[in-house]
Amino acid sequence: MSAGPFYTVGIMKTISVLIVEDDARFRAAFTSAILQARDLHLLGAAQDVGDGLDMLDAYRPDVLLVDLGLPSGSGLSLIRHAHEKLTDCDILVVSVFGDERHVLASIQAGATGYLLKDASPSALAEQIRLLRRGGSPISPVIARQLLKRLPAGVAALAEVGASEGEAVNAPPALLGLSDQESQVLRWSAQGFSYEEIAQRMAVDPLAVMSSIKRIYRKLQVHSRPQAIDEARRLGWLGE
Amino acid sequence: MATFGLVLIGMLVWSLASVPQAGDRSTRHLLAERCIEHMGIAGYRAEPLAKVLAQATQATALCWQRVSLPDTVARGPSLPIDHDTPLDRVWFRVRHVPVASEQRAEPLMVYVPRVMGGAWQLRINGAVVADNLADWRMMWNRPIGVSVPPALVPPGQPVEISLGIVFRPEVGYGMAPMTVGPQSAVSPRLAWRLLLQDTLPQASSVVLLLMGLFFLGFWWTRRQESAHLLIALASVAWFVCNLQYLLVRPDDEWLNAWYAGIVNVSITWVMWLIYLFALRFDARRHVWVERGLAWFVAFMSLVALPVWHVSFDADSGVLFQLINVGVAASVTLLLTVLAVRGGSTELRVIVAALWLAMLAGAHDVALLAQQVSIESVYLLPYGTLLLFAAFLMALQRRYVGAIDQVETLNDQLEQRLAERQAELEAKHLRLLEVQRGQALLLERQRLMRDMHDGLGSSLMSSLVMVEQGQMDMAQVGLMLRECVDDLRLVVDSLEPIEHDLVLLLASLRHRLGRRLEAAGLSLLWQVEDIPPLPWLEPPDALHLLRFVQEVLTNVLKHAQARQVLFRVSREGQEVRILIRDDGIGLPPGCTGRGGRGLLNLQERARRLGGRLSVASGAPEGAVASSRAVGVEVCLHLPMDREQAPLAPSANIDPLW
Repeated sequence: MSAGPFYTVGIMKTISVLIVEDDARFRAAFTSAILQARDLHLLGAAQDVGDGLDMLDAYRPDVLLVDLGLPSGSGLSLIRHAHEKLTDCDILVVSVFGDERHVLASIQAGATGYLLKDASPSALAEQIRLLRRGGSPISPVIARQLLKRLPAGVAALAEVGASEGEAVNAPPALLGLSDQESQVLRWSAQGFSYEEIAQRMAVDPLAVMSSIKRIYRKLQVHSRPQAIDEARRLGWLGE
Repeated sequence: MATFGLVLIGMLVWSLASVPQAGDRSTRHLLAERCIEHMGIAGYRAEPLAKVLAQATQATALCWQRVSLPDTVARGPSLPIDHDTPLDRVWFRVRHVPVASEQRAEPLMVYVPRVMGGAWQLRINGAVVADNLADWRMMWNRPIGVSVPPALVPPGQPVEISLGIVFRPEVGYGMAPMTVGPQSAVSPRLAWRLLLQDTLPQASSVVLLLMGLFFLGFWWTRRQESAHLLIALASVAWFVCNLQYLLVRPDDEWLNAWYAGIVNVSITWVMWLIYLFALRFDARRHVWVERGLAWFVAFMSLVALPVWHVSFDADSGVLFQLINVGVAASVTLLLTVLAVRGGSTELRVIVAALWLAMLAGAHDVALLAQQVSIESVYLLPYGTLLLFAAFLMALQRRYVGAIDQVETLNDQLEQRLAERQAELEAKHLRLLEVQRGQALLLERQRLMRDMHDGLGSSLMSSLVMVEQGQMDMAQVGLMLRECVDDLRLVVDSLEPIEHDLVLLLASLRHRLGRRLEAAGLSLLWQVEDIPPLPWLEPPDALHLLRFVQEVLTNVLKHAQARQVLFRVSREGQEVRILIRDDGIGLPPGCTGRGGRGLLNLQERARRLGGRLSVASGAPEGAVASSRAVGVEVCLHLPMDREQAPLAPSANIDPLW
C-alpha cells in the first residue's frame, strides 16, 4: 500500500504498544507486525483481561491493542480501565468484521481506533501511527449510528449551511458536535473517503480524522452510562 | 315503609280519640232526645227531601225518647230498593247549657263528625240555622260544622239544638255524638276531621294518579314490562273510585245510577289490577288465579251496570263490597301462602300491605253497614296509599337489582374482554414467534444455499486443486482472500442498514476503496441521499452487493481502466446506480465479457426488480480521458416494489 501524505511519520519517537489477544495466531501476527515496524515498540502481549490489566498498570503503553472478544472477560472493562487510568493511552480495538455495533460500544467505553483482524500488518502499523497523530477511522455504519444521535433539526441546519458554504450558528447538538464534525459524519455515512471529505472541506485529511477522534471523545464523555447499557444489551457484560 | 304505615295508623287512632285538647271548653253530648216522624213523601231526590225538611214538626211530647249517641238504625242490605217507600225523618234534640267560661260573645258552633241518611237540617231554639240540601249527596263523608249566629243565642242561657235527618226506612240512619261549644274550641276538631276523612284521601288519590301516569309513560317505552301498565291502570281506577270524594253526584236518576255503578265497580277493578300486579312478584305464573279474577271482574262489572233496573247506590252497595272483601281475602290468602313458601322479599312486603289494605277495606264496609262506630273514618284510602308504597318499594328493589345486575354484567364483560385481549395478545405473540421462526428458517436456508454455491464451491474446488498440487501459495492466498471477500459480502448484506441503499453501498466502498486504489484504479464517488427503499431486505442487499462487486471485478480484470465513476441518483420513481469506467470498452458484437458476465448482471437486475442498461464507448460528458472508450453499466431500481419479482428458486443458483 502506498502511503499517502498524511501517513508519513517521523521516526524520532517510538510508540509503545501493549497487545491483549487470546488467539495465539493473531497474537503472533500482531506481534510480528509491530516488531517489523521500526517506530513501534512492543511492551508485551497478554492473553486475557487479568494479565492485560496488570500489564497496563505496569507498562503504561502509548497504545493498547485489544481484542473485542476475550474469553476471560469483557474487553470492555479493559478499555474502560485504560481510558480512565491512562489518559494518554490510545486504545485500538481489533474486531472481526460484522460487529460494528460492538465497536461502537467500545468506542463509547474509550476506544478511539478499530481495526479488522484481516488487516495487513502494514495497515495495523499505519493505524497505530494515525492514532498517535490524533486521527481516528470511521465506517459508514458507525457514522450513521452517530448521526442518529444528533437532533434531526441540527443535522438539517448544518446541511443547509454547508451547502451554502457559510457558517451556521446551530444550537448545541446532543453530542455537542460542531457543524464540521456533523458534516464529516454525514459524508462518511455516504461512503466518501477521508481524502474526499478533506477536499470538499478544503482541509487536510488528518484534520478530518482528528475531528472523528474528537467526535469519539465527545461520545465517551456523553454516553458512559449509555455505553454500559449498550454493552449489557449486546451481552458484553457478564451478568 | 313499615314505619310509614305505623305512623299512619297511629295518626288515625289519635284522631279518632278526639284529638284537640280544647275539649274542656266544649261539650260533647252523648245523650239526646229522639223523635221519628213518618212523612208520607217518597223519592230519594233533592226535591222531595227539601219538601220533607220544610215541613214543620208534628212531634208530640210522647214521641221524644231519650237515646244515647251515637245512635244508628241499620236495616242491613236489602235489594232491591223500593223508590216508592215514603221517607222518614228523625229528630235529635239536645239542650246545651254553656259552661262558665263561655261568657264571652263568641259564636257557638255545632259539630257532628258523621250523620248517615238523606239530608239534614239544624234548628236552634226552633229556628232553622242550616241544612245540606246543596250537597246532600256528599253527606256520607262530610261532617256537620255549623256556626250559630249570636243573635239566636241569648248569652249564658241554655240553648235547644235539634238536628233533623231525612232517611229511607229500609236503609236506616246514623247519628254521631254532637259537640257544642265556642267556635275556637270546636273548629279545630272540624278541621282535623275534614283533613283526615276528605282532604288527605283526595290528595292521595291525585298523587297516585300522577304516579300512575308516570308508570304509564314508563310502560309506553318498555311494553314488555306489563307490571308498569298494571300499576298505572290501578291508580287510574283508584282515582275513579275516589271521585265520590270530589264530585257531587248528579240528581238525575239515570246519570246517578251510572255514576254509582262505575264508582262501585271501580274498586273491584282496583283490586283486580293490584292482585295481578302482586302476582307478578312471584316466580311462577298463576294462570288460573288470573283467569278466575278476570271472570270475577267481568261478572261484577256486568252486575254493577245500571241496565238491570235494579239500582244499587253507594249506601246500599254493602253486599257488593262484601263480595269484594271475600274475594280479596281469598286471593290475599293465596298470595300469603306463596310469600311464606319461599317468595321474594318484595312479595312478602306486598302481601303484608295487602292484608293491611284489606283490613282497611273491611273496616270501611263495616262502617258502611254501620257495624263499627259511626265516628270512624274511611280507612281504605290510607290502606291503598300503604299498598302503593309497598308496590313502589318492590319496583325500586327490582330496579336496583336490575342495575346491580347490569353492573356485575358489565364487570364480567370487562373482565372477559380483558381475558380475551390477553388471549389475543398471547396468540399474536405466538404468531410473531412462529413468523420469526419461519423468517429465521428461510434466512438460514438462504445462507446455506449461498454457502454451498459460493464459498463452499470455491473452497471445494480450491481444495481439490491444492491437493493435486496445482496451486502455489500466492494462488491459494488469492483464493482465500476471495473467499473472505465473499463472506464479507454475505455479512454486510445482513447488517441492519434499515433499507438504506446508500449506506449499503458506502460500506462496500469503505471496504474496497483502498484495494481498488492499490490496484491502480481511482474511484469517483458521486452519491446523493436516497430515501429508504422498503423492499431492500438482506437477500436483495446481497444481490446488490454482488452485482457491484462483479462489475468492479470485471473492470479490474478486463477494462484496463484508471478511473471508475460510481454514481447513485434518484430519477423520479427510479434509483440509478451507474458504474462507468474509462477502459477499453466491450469488444464489438460482444454480449458478454468474461464469460457469462453480462447475463449474470442482467439476471441479478431482474431479481432486484430492476433492469440493466449497458453502453460501450464514451458518451458525452463521460469521465475525462483522452483514450477512454469505456463501459457504462447502469442498474435501474424501483423506489417501490410490490413484491419480490421472482422467489429465489429452490434449485442451485445458476450464478454461483
